[in-house]
Amino acid sequence: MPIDEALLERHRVRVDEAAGVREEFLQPALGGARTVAVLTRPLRGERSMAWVVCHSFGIEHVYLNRLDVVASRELAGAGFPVLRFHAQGYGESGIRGEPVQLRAHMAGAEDAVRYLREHLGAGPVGVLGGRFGAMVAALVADRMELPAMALWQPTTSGASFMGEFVQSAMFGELSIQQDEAAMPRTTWITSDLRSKGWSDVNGFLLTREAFDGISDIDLTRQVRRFRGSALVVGVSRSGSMPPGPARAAEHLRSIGASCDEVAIADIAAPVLGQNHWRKFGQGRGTRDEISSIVAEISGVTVAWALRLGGGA
Amino acid sequence: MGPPTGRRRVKEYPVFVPCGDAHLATTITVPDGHPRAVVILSTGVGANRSHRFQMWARLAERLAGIGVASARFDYEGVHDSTGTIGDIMISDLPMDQMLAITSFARRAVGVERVFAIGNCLGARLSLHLAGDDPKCVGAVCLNFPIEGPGYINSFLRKVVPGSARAALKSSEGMRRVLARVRRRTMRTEQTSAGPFARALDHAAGLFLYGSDHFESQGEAFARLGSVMGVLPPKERARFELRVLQGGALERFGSVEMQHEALEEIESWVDRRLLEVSPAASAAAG
Repeated sequence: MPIDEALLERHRVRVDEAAGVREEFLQPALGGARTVAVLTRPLRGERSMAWVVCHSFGIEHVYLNRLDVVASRELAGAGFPVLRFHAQGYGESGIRGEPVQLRAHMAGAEDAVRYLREHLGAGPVGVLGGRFGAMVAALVADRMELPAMALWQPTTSGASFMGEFVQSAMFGELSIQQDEAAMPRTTWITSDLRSKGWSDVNGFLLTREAFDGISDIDLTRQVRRFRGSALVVGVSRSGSMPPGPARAAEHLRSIGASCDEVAIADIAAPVLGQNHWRKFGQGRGTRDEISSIVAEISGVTVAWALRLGGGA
Repeated sequence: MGPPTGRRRVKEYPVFVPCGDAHLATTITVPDGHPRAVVILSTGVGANRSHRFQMWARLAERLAGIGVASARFDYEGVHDSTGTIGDIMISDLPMDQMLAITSFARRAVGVERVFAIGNCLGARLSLHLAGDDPKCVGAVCLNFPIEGPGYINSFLRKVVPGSARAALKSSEGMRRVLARVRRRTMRTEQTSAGPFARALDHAAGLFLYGSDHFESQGEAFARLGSVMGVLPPKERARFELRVLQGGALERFGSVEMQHEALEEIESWVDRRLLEVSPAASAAAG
């Protein structure tokens, strides 16, 4: 019996009448190779403005993925088409088992904006993203002179992002390291990058090119032309605006952008971008700690996007 | 642009598979020609269908290279699947999702013969699928959980913040003490011969662990050995336990370990298919 192409084609799309959205798997070439993208669209009253979601770096891509998905569906429910995709080297993308590069994030996002314009006939296109994805979104919005961006828990400094990345790797390594006399992993990472040009960071192949490229990002220097509308969302335990998002918002205003700031209070703020699955009951169960943050960020993003308009 | 040099060109179909009120985001990978079998790939809690470091996406390509189709999926309420999840209890296996994917994959690729390959929670699902489905010819279980976390771990998680725990562990002496206490307080899961016996009645089973896991949980592995010991010789002969050298298979913690695991799984599936259907395999090859 041959492959049932008709069955597979029928299930490429799902329709959710209650939420008023239609989701479709696509396999466009973005960032130089085929990848998997999901286009989420409203069933009725589609607005002309569309959005592209830029995902985060390394394992954060997995930890923040549900935020990208929920926000996409909520925005589509409010009338906005949204495209999310896997940058090359991640998930379902065509490039597999090879090191991830900064340019894969950038080229993928830029191609995704073009894809929406060409294939959907979208009018204005905005970009969204969390943490590192927010940095990519800001850089792409600036380069392509896009009208809007929503940045969730952004940091303005690539160097501080990579610092946190390496530190998280060290904590992960400590929890599984068996050789107690072993050299701390961070020492290996930096020394590997210097000597070999790459390091095996708990299974993630980090190259010096990616490390240096990301470390060189400074949004206050590299985002200069953006004059559109921005939303900056910060999440902290106390509800005060964290320093990274506050700096991003201040910078955007300083270059003439219109910028709304929202600070969200949540006890789980420190694990946004980290492993957010926590065991309880002596390991008998596992709980997602950031589901309320995901819902809040999605909610404020939709409310802001609706205020922007985008033509019903 | 195609896949990088040395990679196999495969055809992949991303789909939403209905399961109750939810739709499970799934990727079906098919080889050239009629598939020899279809493999159901399942993950641990929280992972996406391609799994960490694209392990399942990479495995799917390798399997397609030996004529085997596969289906990998996101659990309900995570990643691209729909629905919501509350607390995930270790006692609640999402077998309905595993069965929905298996049934869809069979229809889509036109083969009945199934393998189940899973990591952690996925390993438990795989063993159960092998036990419940007479046409499942093999299960590969990575990091099958045979021990629960110890009381000291639970206590530390409750009362010590993550950053302070990391600081504690950064002291070499403290780590040594904690490791000793942790080992003593670990509880063995209620592992009975039931699921093993049902699966090994008709399927073969490969259990894969990393060397660090194996060395640190000796008592649990002894218990697993005693569980296997009560099975009849024919069933026992279908079970293999392999320990991959190079450290942590949990979380696929090194590039070398990822490569080793992929090689091991691909060659085991190929061998198993030759055992169950040498003629068909030769024709497909």
